[in-house]
Amino acid sequence: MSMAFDILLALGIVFTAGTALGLRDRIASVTGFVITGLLIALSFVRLGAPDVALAEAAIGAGLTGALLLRSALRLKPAEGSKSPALQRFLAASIATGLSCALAWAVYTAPGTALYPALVSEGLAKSGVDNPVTAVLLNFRVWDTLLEIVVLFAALVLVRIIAPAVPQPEALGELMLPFMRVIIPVCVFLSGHLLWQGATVPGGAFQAGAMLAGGFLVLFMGGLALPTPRVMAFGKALALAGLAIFALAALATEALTGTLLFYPDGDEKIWIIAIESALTLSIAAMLYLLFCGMPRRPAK
Amino acid sequence: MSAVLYVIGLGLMTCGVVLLLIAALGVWSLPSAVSRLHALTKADSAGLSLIALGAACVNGRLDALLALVLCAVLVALSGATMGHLIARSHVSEDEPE
Amino acid sequence: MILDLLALGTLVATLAALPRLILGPTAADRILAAQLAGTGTVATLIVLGTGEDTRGLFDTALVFAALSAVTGLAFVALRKARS
Repeated sequence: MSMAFDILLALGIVFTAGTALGLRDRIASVTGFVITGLLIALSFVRLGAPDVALAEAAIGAGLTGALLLRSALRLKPAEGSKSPALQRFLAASIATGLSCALAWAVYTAPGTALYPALVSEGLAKSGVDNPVTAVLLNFRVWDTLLEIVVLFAALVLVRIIAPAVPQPEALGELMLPFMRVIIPVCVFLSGHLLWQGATVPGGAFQAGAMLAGGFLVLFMGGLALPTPRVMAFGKALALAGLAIFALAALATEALTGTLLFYPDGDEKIWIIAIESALTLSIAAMLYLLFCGMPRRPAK
Repeated sequence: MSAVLYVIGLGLMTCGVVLLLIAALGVWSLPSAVSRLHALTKADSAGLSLIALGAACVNGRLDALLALVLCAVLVALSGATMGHLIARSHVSEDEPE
Repeated sequence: MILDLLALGTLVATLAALPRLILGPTAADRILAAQLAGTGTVATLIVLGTGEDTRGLFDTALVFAALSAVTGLAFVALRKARS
């Protein structure tokens, strides 16, 4: 019976992705993209990866949808002409070839995976119980550091381009009471995800995205417009995450002789400290990416 | 006792899913955007609350109850507010600028 | 068994937002299609979470609920955004 569910889900994902690409109206395309993200997050749940489902829901469906919408509305209407037939044929063949290669790779993959056994061996000494958090913040923490650098590079690019700040519409008297409900929930859920990421699905990226959602709600209610003070605070938070992470890396080098190798017995404290800094920093970076960091900030 | 609770929970969840499907049917086939919004808010408030309540009965644990009640309240509140906001935005775009 | 049927039902309700997304003449129709899909996904997660004993799915449903509110607000607030 769950086979029917999975088949319907898979067909739904393909179809929704088609609407995201094929619909003419921009708002419709972005909505299709958001719904595709939701369905993909469902498929991650079915595949037994709740951490990835959380991250996809938070970042892929929620925040990327808002970012795309913010930019899409400022573009001029698309020109009516279709791209040349040769271009479309090439795109179709590349896509088909890639899909076939992926299908072949999954079909001929060896039965036993090597990674889970290695992870569960090291889990006891890693300081946390959640294998995903252990991999992200202990075994492969160098990759996580570089991911933050990538986010920071995106922020620098946005600062260079300096797009105009979106002006949210006035949303009426119901907005303030609604914000009084949503924002505490966002903050509470963010802290909850951050703390419980040590044992059950959660973690810094999901918590940061939740908090960024709260910031965006503040922005859209007109209360956190990018004035100079807000921008300075946001930039400080964004820098702080990267700085603290880099400092922690250097400190581990000084304490144990190897880069990002936590001292024995203290792993959990280091992981929680780094994750907390990352949460605040990711939230600030996502807010700044959304608002656009103008050169002449709003009054 | 827990068998009775299980059956009650399943019944509540079935009612909730039926309400959700009726609301989806309404969104598909009602004539105007505002009437579709009516159907949508029924899904959010009534449908999801019944599903969450039923799930709490079936599951029976206290921490699950807390998460589910919060979820139901959040979806009901945000559904109602979003219905209002969408309708407001839709109606105001009909006025000449 | 019944839970499988219920999960299928909620998935159908989620996917039923698609015709409205494609057809919907006004932008409000598309926004409400997104809201229906979000609520349907939360419902599906709750039903899936009662099936197995994964309580973590209820927390995921909570996150989805909060984020669909944020996305809906973004759609409504940025509708006529000008620079």
